Amino acid sequence: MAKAQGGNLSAYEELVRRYQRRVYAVAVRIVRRHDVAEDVAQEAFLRGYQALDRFELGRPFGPWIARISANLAFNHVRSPRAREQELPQEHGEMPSGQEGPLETLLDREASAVLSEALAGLPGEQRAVFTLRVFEELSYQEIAETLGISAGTVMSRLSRAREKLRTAVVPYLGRAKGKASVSR
Amino acid sequence: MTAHVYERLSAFLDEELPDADRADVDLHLESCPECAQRLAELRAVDALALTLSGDAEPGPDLSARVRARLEKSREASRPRSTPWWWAAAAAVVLSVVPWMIVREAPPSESSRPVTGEKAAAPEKDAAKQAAPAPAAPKVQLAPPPQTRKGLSPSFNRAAKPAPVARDAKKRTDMAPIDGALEDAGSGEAFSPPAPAAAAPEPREEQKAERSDTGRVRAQAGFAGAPAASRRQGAQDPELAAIDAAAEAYQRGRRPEDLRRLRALADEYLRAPERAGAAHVRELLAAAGAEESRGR
Repeated sequence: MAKAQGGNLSAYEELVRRYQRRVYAVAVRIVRRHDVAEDVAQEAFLRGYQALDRFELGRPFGPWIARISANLAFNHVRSPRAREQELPQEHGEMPSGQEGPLETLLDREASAVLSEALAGLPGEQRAVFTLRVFEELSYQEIAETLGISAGTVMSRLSRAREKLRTAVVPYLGRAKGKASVSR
Repeated sequence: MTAHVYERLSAFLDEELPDADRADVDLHLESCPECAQRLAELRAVDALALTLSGDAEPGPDLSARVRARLEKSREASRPRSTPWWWAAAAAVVLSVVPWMIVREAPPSESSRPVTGEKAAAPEKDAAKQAAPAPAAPKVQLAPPPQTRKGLSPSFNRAAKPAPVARDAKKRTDMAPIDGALEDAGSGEAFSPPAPAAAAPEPREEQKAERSDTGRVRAQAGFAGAPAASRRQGAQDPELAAIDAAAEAYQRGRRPEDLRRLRALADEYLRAPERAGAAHVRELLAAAGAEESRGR
């Protein structure tokens, strides 16, 4: 990181390789289009390089660059042009093939429905949900990243979760008995 | 039982509620199975979302594309700094060169024609610093008008003073002398001035020599007379004899030559309306004057 801050392009290229998947994932979850997410990720790394002098050494680079990507993606989905081009079904996320505790509780159909519901969310709500669930940012961090108030984060996240719950709740019956719903 | 807390369940799940609100929701959940169930479903949605893989990955060349754009951006930013550098260099040159020219110019420079010669001053100055010249007359510090070592031939050609202007000046300065020659009737064919641009340096020296001779001859009184009469003598043998006697007297100042000159002149002037009468009378007068000075 110190080398990259000193202008070493090879060092920064290594950082890009290390974090490109995460940066791209944040973008594609918000914009829902592969080509747009590629552009967003690329722009995020460029802006990250330009802002490296403000990055504090010792802090994790991943969340920092992911937030830049989320901001760019969020600005994209808010633009009128993006609303016209919204293709919610193009890159819906599919359940992973990995076996895990929840995979045994939730069938693939539930995952497909949830993916579709996520794609159907307004971009602003999807951005908030992505940053909270996938990036585990606090409301304040989300607010700072997206340039909105913490109250707006709270309300948008609540509405997003309610829509997703409504979409998948018919498929959660089998999971209910297996997955813990306790706090 | 209080009202349902559906709107606050998301923030309760994220532990983002203020303490007071959180206590209220906690209390409500203990007595409301509906809200508790909904909270469990929200938690399941999050868990389900986390199982969704972002199976789409960025292109394999993303890092290379980022680097290429960064390098391009760097290239684009370099010209912005170049003008600053060149401007600084130009400022230094513009401030130093005039100073060196002024420093190089000798006091007598003001009388010299202003030409491109001065552009060579910095280089000459540098040469002098490299090899300090011994104490020399100030005039030697000034470069020869047409030769400046260390400069390219093309520069020397360009910086050479214009011969037209200098020669024209000389011709004007020499005009009185040339007039004296003609007035003295030296007899030498004074060719009209050659085109100034083609006039070489030796011609000026020759002209100076001529003007000196002419001045002496004019002071002698009959300086140009023999040659002038020789021109006429080619057609008049009597006049040619008079001229020969005058030249002989001029050379040796011998009395017999003077007597011969006077005798021939008297004979010549006896006949009226002779073409060279005036010339002969001048020769006689001059010879008489010369004889008086000799006494």
